[in-house]
Amino acid sequence: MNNAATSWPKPEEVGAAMAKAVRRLPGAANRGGIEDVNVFDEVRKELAVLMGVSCPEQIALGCNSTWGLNEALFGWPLRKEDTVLATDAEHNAVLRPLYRLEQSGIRVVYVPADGTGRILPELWKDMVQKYRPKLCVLNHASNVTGAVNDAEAMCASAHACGAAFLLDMSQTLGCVPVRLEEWNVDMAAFTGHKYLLGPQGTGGLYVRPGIFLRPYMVGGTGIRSDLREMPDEMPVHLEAGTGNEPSYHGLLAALRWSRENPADKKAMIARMRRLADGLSGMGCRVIRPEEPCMPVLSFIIPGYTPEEAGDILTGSYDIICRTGLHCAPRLMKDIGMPQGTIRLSMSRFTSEKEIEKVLLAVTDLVESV
Amino acid sequence: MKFRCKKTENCFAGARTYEYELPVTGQELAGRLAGWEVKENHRFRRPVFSARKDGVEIKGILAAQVVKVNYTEENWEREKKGLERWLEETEV
Repeated sequence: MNNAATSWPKPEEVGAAMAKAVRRLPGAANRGGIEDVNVFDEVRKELAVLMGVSCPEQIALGCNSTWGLNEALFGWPLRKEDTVLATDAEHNAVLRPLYRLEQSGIRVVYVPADGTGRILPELWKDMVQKYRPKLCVLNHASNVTGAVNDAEAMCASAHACGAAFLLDMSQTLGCVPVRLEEWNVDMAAFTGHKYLLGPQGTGGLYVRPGIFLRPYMVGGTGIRSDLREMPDEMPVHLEAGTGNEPSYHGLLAALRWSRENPADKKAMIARMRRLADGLSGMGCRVIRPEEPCMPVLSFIIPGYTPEEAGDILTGSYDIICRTGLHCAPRLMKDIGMPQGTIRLSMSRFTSEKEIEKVLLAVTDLVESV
Repeated sequence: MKFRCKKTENCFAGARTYEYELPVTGQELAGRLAGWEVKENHRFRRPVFSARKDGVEIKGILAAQVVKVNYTEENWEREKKGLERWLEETEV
């Protein structure tokens, strides 16, 4: 029940592909010919379909979403006294780069979330108009409550005021439909190890054609080694150093598996509802955003700190959950849980039986206070 | 008794939490904690215990040999030394 951190289990094909990859001859570092299979390009093609973009080469692949977000936030041409608009729902993967930007004279303004962790498009629009930011950053869905934000509307509001728009899809890609070109999104970061069902060490950044970022990380590219700067063309412009080839073989297997085995969204929603109803019914304080929502649920059990409850759920019942601030410290006051929450996050593989086991375990805790 | 210790973290910068792997179970440890406020809960699938004294908390599964200790932010070094000395001096 900790899939919002890293999904588990993975399709069998993922591990098999990774094991095969470490035994085979490594890739050709951007120099391969027609007969070479470039796993990174194959992944880009699969991701382009999922993201709704027509230029796979605009997807730079790195080690995770944090990498992509750092490339975007530090690569975008911000100047002293420029404003960046973000939200209270952001993860530290966005917040900590923003805190660093503040040290260089960039002003950062945060849009508060509602009590369910959602950013209201009207409030976002008002704040964009008021602060006239150069760059707007939005978490597509809260990793704490699962509330999915209206990225299309908020991107339009940002563009209407001349701001660029960066979307953090860490939680959503693979679970929520995304149409980046249709929404006109400028940049979007993603990770492979959550709802894409791939391994850790995969993730990256989509950059809309026409946008030129100053690479945050620079280094070897295998090609154009006689240049002092990174090559201009994407994706190699942002891809310094040797990529994580075995893990990208795993991600490719996961993407292909997911395409052939679509998740049963209705069943997932029904299980989440059963979980939320059950927890509410026994007196837990549950954050319940309206749909659209990720299969993520935050709650607290009266009489226990989140950490105490989490320790018991894990130690006594083998229920792996996450407790605390979930790397989203600004959101806690908005949802009225300053000491953090217990977070349960399902995957497509979570069964009804597992939901019932969670409810039985929490019943024991509630009745033991 | 001999033990292995590892710092474990949570979300808060002030957390001073350590795990200890012991040669005895939580149940056996709890029985030796004279002067501590010890509570057991046998309702859970694997029964648990917690023990508190002067802001320090030891907790874990009664049948397991790994316990978690929360020290206070202010005096954690002194508390940690004290508990570890006591563990070392306690015979199994």
